This record gives sequence, C-alpha cells and structure tokens, in this order.
Amino acid sequence: MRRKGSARREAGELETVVLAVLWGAEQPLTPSQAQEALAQDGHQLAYTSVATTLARLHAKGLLHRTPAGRGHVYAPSPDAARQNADRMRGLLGEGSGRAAVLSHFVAGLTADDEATLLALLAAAESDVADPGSRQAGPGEAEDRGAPGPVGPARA
Amino acid sequence: MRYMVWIPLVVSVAIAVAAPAAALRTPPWARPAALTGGAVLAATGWLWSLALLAASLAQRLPGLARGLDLRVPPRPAVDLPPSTVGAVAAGAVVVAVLTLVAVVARLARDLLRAERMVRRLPDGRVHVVAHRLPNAYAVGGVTDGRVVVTTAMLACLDTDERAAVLAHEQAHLAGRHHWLRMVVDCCAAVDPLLRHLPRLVDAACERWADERAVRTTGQRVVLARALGKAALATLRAPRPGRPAAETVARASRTVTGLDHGSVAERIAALLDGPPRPDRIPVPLAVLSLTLAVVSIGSAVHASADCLAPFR
Repeated sequence: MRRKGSARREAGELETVVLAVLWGAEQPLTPSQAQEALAQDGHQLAYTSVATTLARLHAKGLLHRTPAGRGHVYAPSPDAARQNADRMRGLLGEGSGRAAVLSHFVAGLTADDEATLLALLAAAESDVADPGSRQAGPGEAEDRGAPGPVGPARA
Repeated sequence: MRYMVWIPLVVSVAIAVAAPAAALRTPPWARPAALTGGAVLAATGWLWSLALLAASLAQRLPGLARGLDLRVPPRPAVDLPPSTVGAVAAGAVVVAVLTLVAVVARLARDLLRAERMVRRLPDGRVHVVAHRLPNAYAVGGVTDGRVVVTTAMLACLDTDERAAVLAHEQAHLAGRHHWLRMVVDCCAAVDPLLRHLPRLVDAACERWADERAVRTTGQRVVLARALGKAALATLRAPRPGRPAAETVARASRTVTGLDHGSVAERIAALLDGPPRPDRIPVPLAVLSLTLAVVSIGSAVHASADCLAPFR
C-alpha cells in the first residue's frame, strides 16, 4: 500500500521537475536534451520516463510541441500560463489577507527583513560551498548578523 | 460537585496560555495536528462549560423552570452557580455561536471559491500562471488541490530551487493544511482566548511543509535558499496601486519571534539542520493526555449533574 502511494507521488514529482527544467531552458528541448538538463540538476532519469512525462504534460496542455527532425521539441506554453492567470483572477482579486484555503510560499514580510534575508542567504551559500560547516557549532549564529555579498534576486 | 463545570474552562485557559511554548517543544511533524487538537479540546470545553452554566440559569428562574417543565431538585440555591454567572455565560454562548456562524459562512465561501478554481484549472497538480509578481501557493478545495506558481517566481529561482518550492506547496496539500486552518479558525471564533492559535497553526504548517519538502527533495539548503530568494524578490517587486501595506499589515501579526513563522525564522530553522527533538517529549505527551482526560471527564460529569432537571 505504501509503495503504491509513493509511486503515484513520484509521477507527480517527475512532472514538476520536468516542467521546471523546461521553464528554465532558453529554447525548446528535445526529450534527450531535457534528460541531459535533468541529469545536470541531479535527476538521473531514463529516456523513456522523460519522454513519457513530456508527452503527458503536452496532453495536459502545459507544453507546446513542435516537430523537429525525427522527433519533437517541447517548450512551456505561455498560453496555458495566461489562461491560468485568467482563471485565477476571481480568487486572487479578493486579496483579503489570510484565507484558510491559500498557503503562500512566503508571507508576512516587512521591509526590515531584507538585511536578515541577505545574511541568511549568505549563510546558505557558504553551506553549499562547504557542507561540513553546519556542524561547526553555535558560533555561526553570530555570523548571520552581517549582510553578505549576495545579490540573489535575478528576476 | 458543582466545581466540575469550571474545570473544562480552566483547561481551555491553560491550553491557550501554554500553546506557544508547547508548540516549540513539539517536533515539526507533530506540531500542526497537536495544535489543532489542543484548539478543538479547548474550544469545545469552553463552549460546553458555558452552555452548562447558562443552563443553570433556567433552574434559578422559577417561571422559566415551569415553562420548560423542569424537575427542579429540592436543593439549596447555594449549590447552583450565582445567577449573574448564568446570565454572563448565556450571553457568552450567544456571542460565541453568532461569531462561529459568521466564520463558518466566510470559510464556506472561501472553500467554494477555491473548489471552483481547482475545477477550472486543468488536471495536474502544478500550474504556472503568467504574472509579474513572484508568488507560489497551494489552493485547497473540497475534492482536490492545486499548486500555482507565477512566471516571475520561476524566473528568480534555479531548477532545484523550483523543485523545492513546489515540493513545499505540494506538502501543504498532502498534509490537508487548509482543513486544519479552517478548524482552528472555528475554534478561535468560539473561544476568544484562542485568538493566537490560527497564527501558530499557520506557522506550524509552514515548518511542517518545509521539513516534508526537505524529505522529498533531500536538499535542505536548497529550500532555504529558495525561501530567501523568493522572499527578497517579493520584497523588491514593484506593486503599483497596492503598496506594501498588505505585507506589512500581515507581518505585524506574524512577527513574534516565537512561532518560527516568519520567513527568516524558517530559513534559520532549515539551516540549523534536522529538527531536534525528533520525538514528542514524554512529559509533554503525558501532560496533554492528562489535560484531555480531565477536561472530557469533568465535562461529562458536570453534564450529568447540570442537565438532570432537563430530562
């Protein structure tokens, strides 16, 4: 029973990861290019699973497919994104603060948080560079006070 | 035995006071459910005790007692709560019920709206929305839920970070957090002492979803980075016509420094490594169970006592 649940979750996760890769790519990708991009992100997936997932996303209208060579290239569908925006308007238009049905990824920010966030991001970056530093001890908490040299919002 | 009716009230006050501290000592995986359970216990105990006290008023007033055809036992009047207490309790019950009805109506409207939106979006859990403001959220309806992420949010994150954000939002749906929130909103409507519980549960759900996302993606630092980037992008995004007032208003309710609710606290908690303690501390579990047993037991006992004349 547990296996079945996790298998279903994996299918959903796969779609998520593949969609994210395509939104990140600058041009439409073939299944093997997508597989390569996924591998670069640390997701080692079989060609068939990538191709199946791309086809499924296309069937759902989330991806554009254009014939190229012997196969297809896939790109995220801006139309789908725009249609979604239209569909959301009713719910988002209300904007009445906290609604129990909505869970925002980030909520409750003040302008004062910026310096803290920059410092925390610097701490996170140094973690990636040196994963062992987490075990360094409690002294690290003080390091977070100073803003780090990171400019993370590449919007 | 008349003091029994007060015990659920005392327990609900104790829960309201102890909830923030108890939440911090509970591991993130148990926190949303434990807080919601505590809120339900406190609110039902509160409402039930008030109702019993209000019922005692009927026995005090001979006219009303005759009208209701009550068998008023021949007992000294000192055994009943004073009539002022009964009157205050009756007023409190009326206010609580009216507030509850209003809150339930609002929640039902929100839920129906969310359900309509879930059905309008095509199949599939995750949906990208063209929007210039960075945003990502989970919408929970009646039958299903959807995760929505804006193009602006995707633009400021790398692939791993996007996966982490989406895993976080999917965790909210998997944990059925919108149901927990609605239950807690109802509890807070009934018992004004529980006003701070919805915020605590919100914060607990965020931490739960953070830890769950870390478990599925296996990348603790990546999620922390995604949170930081998303928060900065949100802060820096221009909002014509609607200045940052909304964010500030909400923040004033959220930033308490105690509930791990703010984004900065969530990042810090993630960077601190796997949460400790990983288990519910035994004394806390024993104390909670005792409170629950005492509250329910005394409520049952008091009901038998107070409602006897109504049979």
